[in-house]
Amino acid sequence: MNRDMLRIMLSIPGVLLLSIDILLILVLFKESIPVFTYEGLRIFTEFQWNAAEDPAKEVYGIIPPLVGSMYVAILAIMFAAFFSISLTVFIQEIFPYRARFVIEELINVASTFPTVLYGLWGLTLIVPLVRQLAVKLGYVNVTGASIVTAGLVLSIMIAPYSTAIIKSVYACVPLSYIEAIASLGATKIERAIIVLRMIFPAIVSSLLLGFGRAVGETTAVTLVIGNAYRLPLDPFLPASTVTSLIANNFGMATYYKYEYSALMFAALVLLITSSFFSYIGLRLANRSVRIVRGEQ
Amino acid sequence: MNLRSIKNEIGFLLIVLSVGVILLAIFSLIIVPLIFGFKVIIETGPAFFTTAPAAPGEEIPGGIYYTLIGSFVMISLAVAIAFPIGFLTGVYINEYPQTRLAILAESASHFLSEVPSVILGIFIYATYVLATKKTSLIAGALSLSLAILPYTVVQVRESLRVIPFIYREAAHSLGLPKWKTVFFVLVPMNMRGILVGLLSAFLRAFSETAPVLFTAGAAFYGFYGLDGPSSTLPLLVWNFAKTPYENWQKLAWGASSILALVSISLSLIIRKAAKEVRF
Repeated sequence: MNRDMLRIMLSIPGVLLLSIDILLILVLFKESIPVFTYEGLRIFTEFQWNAAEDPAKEVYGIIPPLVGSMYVAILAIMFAAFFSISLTVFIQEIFPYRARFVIEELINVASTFPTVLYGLWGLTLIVPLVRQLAVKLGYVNVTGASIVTAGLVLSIMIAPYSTAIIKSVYACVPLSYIEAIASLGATKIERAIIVLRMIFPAIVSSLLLGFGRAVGETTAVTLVIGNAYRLPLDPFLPASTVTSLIANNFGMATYYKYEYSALMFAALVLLITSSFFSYIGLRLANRSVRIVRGEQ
Repeated sequence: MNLRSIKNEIGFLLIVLSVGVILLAIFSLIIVPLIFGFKVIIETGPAFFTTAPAAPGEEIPGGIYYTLIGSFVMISLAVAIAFPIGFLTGVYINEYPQTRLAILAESASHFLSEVPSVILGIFIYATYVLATKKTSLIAGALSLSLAILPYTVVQVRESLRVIPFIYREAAHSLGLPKWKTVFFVLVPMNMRGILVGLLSAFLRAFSETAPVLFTAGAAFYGFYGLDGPSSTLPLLVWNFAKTPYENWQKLAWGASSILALVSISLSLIIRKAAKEVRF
């Protein structure tokens, strides 16, 4: 067995991995063709999702759930930004060094916790909280399952990840910089703000990676968003996302002529969107690594 | 007190408040299923692990026997499919870096990890379930294996990458060919890292719901072999928590405590094991 034999043997799984990806995209494309030939660009302008026995009456529009996905994900990363930045500063600057591992273990456990349990937790704790808040704000007949609930649950899900990324970059800032900041007499919070500005690209990239996760998350979101097909404008009313639409309708979709294909198209659009944001996030992450190393 | 120290105090307060909120959230997230679930399990007794779910609306919640079997077989199968592929790909990317296939395979693995897991499920549905005309344990295992494959690639590559170059030089200087260097020197050296990867793969397969939603079927009342429908624990929680029946909701809570317990202990073990690797 010579060197090239090893390479040939090892390349088989690599090629397999590559062909899985290609097949995945091809299948999504192929399965979305029927709905596209049937509806054409109307799939972007219709604001209803109507699976009917009579194929002529079927109407599908993917914009409301797509807007729902974006809305939920943007809310989620806004909350997550707030949570993870304060967690980072808290762990790095405020909490006693020896006790840090407690918080770190908690975050670590949370980051691998099953998503369906996030959903169940949101359903039992966050939904009633949001309902009370909404009632105070003057809403009547709200269940509490809404865009904002999904955003909150997702932000708790993303925050451990983004905290881990931001924290590791925060800890990488060279000591000479910290000393320079300290020698100017900066307070702890001032120091934290300066360091956070230095690692700003890392923060943005961790949040963009979180955005990819938030857009693709299915079970937790479906349990707390209320699953109403509408163009989501009011954050306290139930809506749906692309993933919750798939989770709710895919099981029965093959009974109708076009619904299966419409859901595949929705999945394709979702995949394109989430990979776009992850790609930008990754590019920024590479850049921020160079910045803290002082290579800029 | 000057303005700067007042700002400092306000910043402190804001940070402590928001950290309090998120830590409380995470703590309740972890503790709620444990408390609710253990109560159900204690009430039900050993029957929780040895029976099938009760009929809706009955007094007792029944048990998760068949789901436990289904979970175990499906996860093992998924890891058995994904791990060898992920392992060999990881070795290739580490051993032949900068080659065209390595770069492509790495991007492919990264792309796969970014695909929302529900899409992996409907991909297997479109290719395997529609072809065989039924949901099955194998279909569930296939979609789970797609979900864990990219993570094994990264884990294996990382655990080989951290080995200092001198060990490789030493092996080559003894005249070992490359494949012996890789499989008899480098891999055994960081066996722990690779086992951590294996364990992470198990944990991920264990806790994923979305890939198996439409592929594994929902057979909670029996085990129908590899070719028949099956179920996993997250799937049971998902299906039964949404029902209006009190005893089924209890069953979901009981199952979720098992889910939480396994997830917590595995992630603690993984973190501890991953920390101790030194060269």
